[in-house]
Amino acid sequence: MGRLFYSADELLHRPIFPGMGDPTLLYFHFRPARPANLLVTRDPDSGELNLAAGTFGPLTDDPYTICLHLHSSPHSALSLSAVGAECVVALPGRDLIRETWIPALPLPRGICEAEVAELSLLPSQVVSVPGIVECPVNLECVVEFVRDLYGRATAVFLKVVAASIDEEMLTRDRASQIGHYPTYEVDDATNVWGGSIERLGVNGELLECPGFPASAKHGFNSDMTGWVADLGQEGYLSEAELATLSGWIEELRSTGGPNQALRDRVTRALASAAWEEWDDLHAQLSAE
Amino acid sequence: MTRKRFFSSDEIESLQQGEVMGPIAHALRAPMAQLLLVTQDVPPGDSVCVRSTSLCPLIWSPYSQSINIPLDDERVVRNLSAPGAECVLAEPTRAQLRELAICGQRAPDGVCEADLARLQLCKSLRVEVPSIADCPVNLECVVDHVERYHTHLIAFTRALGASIDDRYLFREREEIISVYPLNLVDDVLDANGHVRRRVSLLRDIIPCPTFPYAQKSGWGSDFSAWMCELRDEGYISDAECELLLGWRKRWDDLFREAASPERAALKARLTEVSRFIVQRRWAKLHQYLREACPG
Repeated sequence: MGRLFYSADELLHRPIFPGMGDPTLLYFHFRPARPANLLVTRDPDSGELNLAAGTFGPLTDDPYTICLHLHSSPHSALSLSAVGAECVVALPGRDLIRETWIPALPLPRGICEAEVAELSLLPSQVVSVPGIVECPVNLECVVEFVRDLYGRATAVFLKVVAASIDEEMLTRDRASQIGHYPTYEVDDATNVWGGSIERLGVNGELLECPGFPASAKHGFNSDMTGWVADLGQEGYLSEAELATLSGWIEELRSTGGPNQALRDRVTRALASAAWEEWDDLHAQLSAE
Repeated sequence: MTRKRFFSSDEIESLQQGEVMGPIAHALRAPMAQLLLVTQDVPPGDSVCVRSTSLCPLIWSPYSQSINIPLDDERVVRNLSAPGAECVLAEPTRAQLRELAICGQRAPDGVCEADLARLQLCKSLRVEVPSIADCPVNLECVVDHVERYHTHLIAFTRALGASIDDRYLFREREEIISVYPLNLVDDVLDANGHVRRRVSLLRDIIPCPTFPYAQKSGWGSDFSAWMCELRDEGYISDAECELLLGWRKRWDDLFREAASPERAALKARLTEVSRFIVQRRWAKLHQYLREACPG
């Protein structure tokens, strides 16, 4: 086993490893699949509706905000260049692969891609642009922040001000929901003319991370001191062991400086707990 | 007819109350790539900090992405906000769910979550921050900008380089997506009322249409070039292609004349022919073009 290193410039040129025929294979190892969206905006010059295909990412949950990245030339970037501009981010399902691709075609500006794709418009509650009936989720959004990306694109932060979902989706369990929407940009295959065939994916398997006692009762983003206290409360540590481990952590925190022996002790104890090696943990703490 | 359920801004916020978001709040969200973020503690610390985080890809050239960190995660906020800050984004696999959960917690300052998760760190080539040897892919990044936004610090990062475990090099995409990347799906309560994070892997990959229902290049190009490709491959005649190119040019001339009846008529024509092409209705396309221009 070894590691291969590439510079960002090398990756841009889609390197091929000897014996590798497909120029997309290596390149897309480095690009995590991204959730696809259909973006509905209004052309700032003509007022006509524009539908663009893109991908988006998460920002915050409360309030619910998301991030778009828009290349500088398309009209959707112009539409969302100012704070307060409105749009709808629609999440397409696996039954809309062709329809998701159509807005990526080079149709003349002003031609409504939704009409070409035979998608129906859904009146919005709050914003002035409609959503897409066929998409199971429509997020009505307002631009809160815009940032130029290296003169080539724009990052747009959107606050979700209203939303809709197909009622049928609410009757499904989560595994079934994510198996249907959204689709993800996975990679490109190469067609016989040397051009790209965009490939979209959907989620399949749902996996559960270990919970307490391997990690905090309160989940991710918890402080480990709370987890240690919970281990004591639930009987994984005796009172004396809890006092010892908490004391070590407190001492490490208060000294602040490099105390390698203490750091190693805390690391070993917390690792034993996280891997549920209780005998080892008891031995470490009782040796103290 | 699909029945829709609507939520106002207030209702969306109310869906998020409690220790975990409710199922409707999750249903309104997309599972997002879940990675391990490696940062170097700034002095007086000298340790490495590893966190589970979600990533938003930005653009490919330069290859950039944004990551979001809760503002109360002072250690990582401090690390990413330092001048010239660097970081590594590592992709965990389905075999590293426990490691992901461990790195989802905040260890005391000075303790490295990678040690707790027993992840092996290795030297990066283009940044000082180490990579994670156990992860198939590591992106070595510099932080170009940070922005405080509501409850989070949003860091705009740019990859200077990347590394890959050579065992993954020749695997087909269909196999790779059964191993990584992991997508953060939701947090749920288990039978004991404890929070459990759920992640997912992609399964099905479906190709989008290609020529003649799209331009040969797939990306880029323009409408006129696409029509010429259709002519060259015999899908439309020379005369039909000429007609379409003429319409396309005239559309540009009229684009800013919103009240022009000719513009409205031309818009209807271009919409209709585009629809016939992408919906594979060649007979209707030929008939439409004949009727639009009998000569």
